[in-house]
Amino acid sequence: MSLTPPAISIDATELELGTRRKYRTNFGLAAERFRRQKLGMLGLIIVLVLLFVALFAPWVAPTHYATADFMAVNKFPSRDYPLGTDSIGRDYLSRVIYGIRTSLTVGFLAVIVACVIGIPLGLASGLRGGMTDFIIMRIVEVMTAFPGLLFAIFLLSVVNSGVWGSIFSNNTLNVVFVIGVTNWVGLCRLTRAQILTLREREFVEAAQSIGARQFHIGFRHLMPNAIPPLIVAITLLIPAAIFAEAGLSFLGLGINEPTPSLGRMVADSRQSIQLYWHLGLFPTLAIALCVLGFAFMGDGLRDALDPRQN
Amino acid sequence: MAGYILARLLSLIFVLFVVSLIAFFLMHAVPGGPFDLGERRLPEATRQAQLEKYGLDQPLLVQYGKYMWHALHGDFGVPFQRPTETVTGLIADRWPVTIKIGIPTIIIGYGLGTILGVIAAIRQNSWIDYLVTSVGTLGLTVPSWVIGTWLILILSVRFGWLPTGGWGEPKHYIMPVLAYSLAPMALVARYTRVSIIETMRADYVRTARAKGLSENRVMISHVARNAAIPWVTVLLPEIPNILTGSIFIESVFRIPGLGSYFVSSTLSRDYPLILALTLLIATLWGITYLITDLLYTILDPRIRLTRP
Repeated sequence: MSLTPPAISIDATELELGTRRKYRTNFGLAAERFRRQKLGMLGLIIVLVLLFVALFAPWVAPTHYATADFMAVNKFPSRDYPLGTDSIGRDYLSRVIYGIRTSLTVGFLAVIVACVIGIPLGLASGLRGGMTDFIIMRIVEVMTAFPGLLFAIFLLSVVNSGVWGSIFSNNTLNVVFVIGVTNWVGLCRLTRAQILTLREREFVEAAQSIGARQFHIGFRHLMPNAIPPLIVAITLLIPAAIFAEAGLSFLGLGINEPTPSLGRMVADSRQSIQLYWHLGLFPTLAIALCVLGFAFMGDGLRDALDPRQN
Repeated sequence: MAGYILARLLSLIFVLFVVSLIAFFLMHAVPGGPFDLGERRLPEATRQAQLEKYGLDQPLLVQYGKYMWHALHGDFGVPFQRPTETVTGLIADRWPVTIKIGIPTIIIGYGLGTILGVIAAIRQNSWIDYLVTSVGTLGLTVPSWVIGTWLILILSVRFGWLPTGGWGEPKHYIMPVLAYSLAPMALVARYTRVSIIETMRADYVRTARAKGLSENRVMISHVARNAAIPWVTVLLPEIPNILTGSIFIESVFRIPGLGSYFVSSTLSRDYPLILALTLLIATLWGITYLITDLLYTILDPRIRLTRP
């Protein structure tokens, strides 16, 4: 015998459908707003193309990045070498394509590192308050006062020297680690600020009044509401990480040869830029494309997800 | 107010202390000392004598204590890269070069940025607004040394108007300042635009118009004053960054400023110089933030200084 009359179960399904439809329209609205952002869509297209090129670099690039033809050194762009060749005869198009692959890899992985450090610290700071908040905020203050690039250079020379064991023996991972460790502060601050404003809202009070535990409130009520601004911040952190990797490599501290890095390629091109302009032009264009693609996409996402737009 | 400033200064001293501690121990965490590098290995006895001369044979904490004690008395030691000079002398020698690039950068970046931001805000959604916004994104996201390389490719390689780099003559200023000022200009234009647009929508601006004030009066004493708040809080703190220079700009255009020492002193384990540079930047940063917060309360009396 059924305890639940059929009418109520129908109501329940309707209610469920109702909430689901509302959620989808919210998402749909955001997608709709994003689609109207011309620069945002341009950014998305650039990012998708770059991702494709980076993922399928071995198939897209004409040769491997280290393949050198010593008979074709410093060639200008031609039909055989669309972007020319570098000073030891490596196909520049392949170098640029693998360079984009390096940039995106570092960009994504470094942002993951920054998230893993910054978001939990921001959550802890905002939720626990008191002493935890005080300590974390002092750490944040010191990190902000510490000149970012100097900190990255220090840290890089420490991890590159291998004193912390063989986990960081891979040079690319070193760069990822250092960029992540020097870029989490913004995410931590943002998460904390989000929690602090959301904590005062009525739905949190309601959850508290029915006896929800702090952990439950943090993950079921605060996190979902804090996510849209975090998505924007994370999207905008990717170009910052790409920027940082290119900069460190430009200074000769980042990715080592023969792994191609766009920053390193620009630095190397400077000696002969008067003669071989193509060596400077193409990697800088690739960096600009990577950074601008993500930045346009992030700006578009911000306009699409910003609740103040409603 | 005085109590607040005092509390902030104390907090700044604490931050500087931690920063110096981290910098010191991170530097020493890198294996190898300043006399282990280079092609020629020093004979063991010479190496020991050198270590002794600079006090590097003592325990780290003693070294740190001594350095800080001397630093508090204005003596930042001798840079290992240039043993005939002092750290203070070296900074006094090279920093002016960096500042000479920094000041025109600030004038162009902040001046032109404000003008462009105001125009874009008043002509919102016009072609000029889109132009300012796009150039703004370009300036903020594309590294200055990429812009610098493009300037070299166009102005030096293609047209041959300017030298690719160097220092000393007025023509050496043009490209570095252009490349360097694009980012602050973009930042200033962007913030000016957004804050003016937001202020123009505020209720008190509508009230000011409703009571019949002239458009100029509304713009100057109501919009400009309130739109200046983010200008002060976000943009002023960028100034010490510009004044301490960019390693990248100095490296692209071969300018003999402070920048190159950031990298070279790390690579050659030049402990005294590194600590001095780190403390210099951190101090400038801390003081700027204090000034910013004080200006903030003057511009917006609603903001109260509560706790540091």
